[in-house]
Amino acid sequence: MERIRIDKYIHSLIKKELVSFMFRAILSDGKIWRDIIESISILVDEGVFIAGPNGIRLRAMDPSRVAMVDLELPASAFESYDCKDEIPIGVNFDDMKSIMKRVKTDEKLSLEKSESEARLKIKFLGKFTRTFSLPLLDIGKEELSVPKITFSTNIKLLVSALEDAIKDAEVVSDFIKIIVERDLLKIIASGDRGEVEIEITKDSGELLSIEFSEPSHALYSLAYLKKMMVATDLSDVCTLMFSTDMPLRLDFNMATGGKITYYLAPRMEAE
Amino acid sequence: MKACLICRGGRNLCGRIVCPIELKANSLIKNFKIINKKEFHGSSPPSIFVGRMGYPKVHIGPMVPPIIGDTSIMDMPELWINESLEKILEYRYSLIRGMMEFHVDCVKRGDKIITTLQEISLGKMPVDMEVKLIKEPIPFIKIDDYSQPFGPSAPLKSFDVFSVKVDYRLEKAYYDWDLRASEAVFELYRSGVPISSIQKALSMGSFGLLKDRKLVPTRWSITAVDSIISKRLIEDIKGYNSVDKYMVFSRLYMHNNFMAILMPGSWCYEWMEGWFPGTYWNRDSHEVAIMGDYEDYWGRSSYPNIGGCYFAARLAVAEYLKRIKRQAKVLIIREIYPEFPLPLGVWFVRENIRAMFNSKPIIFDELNLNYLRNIMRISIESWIMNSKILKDELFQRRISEFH
Repeated sequence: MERIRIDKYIHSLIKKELVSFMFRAILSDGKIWRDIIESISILVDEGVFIAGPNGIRLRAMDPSRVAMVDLELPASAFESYDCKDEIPIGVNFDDMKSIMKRVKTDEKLSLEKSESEARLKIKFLGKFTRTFSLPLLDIGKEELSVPKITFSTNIKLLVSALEDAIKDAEVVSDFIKIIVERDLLKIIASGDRGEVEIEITKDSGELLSIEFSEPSHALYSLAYLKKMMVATDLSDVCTLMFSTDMPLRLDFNMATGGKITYYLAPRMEAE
Repeated sequence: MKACLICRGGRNLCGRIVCPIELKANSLIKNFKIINKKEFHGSSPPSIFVGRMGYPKVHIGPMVPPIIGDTSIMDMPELWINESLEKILEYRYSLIRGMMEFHVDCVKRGDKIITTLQEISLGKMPVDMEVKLIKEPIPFIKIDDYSQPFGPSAPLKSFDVFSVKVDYRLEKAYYDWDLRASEAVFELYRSGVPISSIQKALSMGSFGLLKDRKLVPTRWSITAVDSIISKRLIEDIKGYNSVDKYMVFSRLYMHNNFMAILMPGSWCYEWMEGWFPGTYWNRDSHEVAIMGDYEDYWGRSSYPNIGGCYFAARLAVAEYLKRIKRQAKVLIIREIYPEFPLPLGVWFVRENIRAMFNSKPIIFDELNLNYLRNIMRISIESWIMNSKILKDELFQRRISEFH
């Protein structure tokens, strides 16, 4: 009896919000968080979100160290956002993904972490409230820096055009060559199964802008590029940057604020 | 790709009634004693066969040699690694398969014959039996790339079992109707039950949630066990640090050249086979046939082309990495030379690679292509052209190089 009464008491405190939260954020559309989680989890199995006064960020490298994902979600992207200090939130993305698959259309999402618990509360606020509690991981905070590169090209294009080009290239090969010369983005793939050449120009309306300081070309793995196309749910337009034989950078700017950036290391040309 | 390399004795792709390789195997058993008795006493190793033809209605039955005594080695591939080909064929040829037709779902109904066969499948030592066949067994040996050879068969009239000494660990899983089959397989492996025993019990539908239990054709259950166990081991392996050097293992056995290259990096795995012209699945060609399959860190969602060998080798390397508590990029290569006479089943790959990982590796600071060139007969360039992992190692750069 005694036990039950104490539990009830603690519960009532939580309900009255007398137990303090270190971090609490509400997104007006839960599906955005679901898409963010999907676009991180295709590259990494574990990672640490850093929630700070100005927003949430995450930077992680895939296990083979070929690709990197960099998320920035400013406080302004949230309906309400409250976080005093920087706190690490280490999660297993498989588990987080399974939870986020349960989100329904028109549901708001609340993320909460209290001081006392090593758990993240994920609340779906819709017709009724559903609360998941995700155990957090104590992962050593390895501060990653992004690659230091001056990109010679900067191209804005519709994500649908890039997605189609990747699907075309996959038919014949495992990697693509990206070429920028004149006002033209050329994607070439070739292998035992054949060859394909895709030209994306401004005339078609799919290429929004193209800037380059010198003609550039590089090879990239299709397996990784295909994974990155998961983020196309977050944005209709992406920015592609690269230099000859250097990593590629792909930015997806979300309409609601925030950005996902991928980096992908190049392949060397085989003799 | 040549039909033989895809079929491997399992699908009759050439249209012949009997696989030519099977004919070759049968020419080797000509001098063996023909067993022409319809009724006999014998000790089953213990051993059960579940066929796959006609699935979901399959032929099943006990395998019993007309010999009383310790016959356990006859169905224990773990012990065959140093046996001669003749000896292995002799073991298999003495095991007579009495066959009955059952629907795979019969396990749920608790049929008397099925429960008796299940009990045999849980046995830890040979089981004395009396077997009555309807016809004399046909003197034939069945060969394919997945299962060990299978001997003469005949329709079964009846059988009697004396007492069965069951393995208590298998029995516990058998009576646990809330334990999933994959959990049971892994737990039994962890408690030291040999792979071949787990595989036999699984094929008799002895594990799993009660509503899910069914017969599993022997050939499928062999691969299922390799796949389930290695998958679980790989989950553990991914939590370990990477090896810090390049480790090369090799083993030449019975005209097969096995090599493993362990490279620093996160877990990924590739299995490659090179069939020389004149080998049984590449008989009429003048070129080496190279086939392979690959999984990245995240695993694979489709069934590999190579099938059984892929998972058998994956199990052997996962066991090794678990033992040294490291992860690695793993490439395993098998060169098959024309003198290798017959496919003997995936155990041949599993046990050879296990044995290879018990030998000492040669260690390098980098991928030493010259060393590899010297231990293989197929040119390293051909392997590179066909191998995802070698191409990745040689041509794919890392983000960390650009900081």
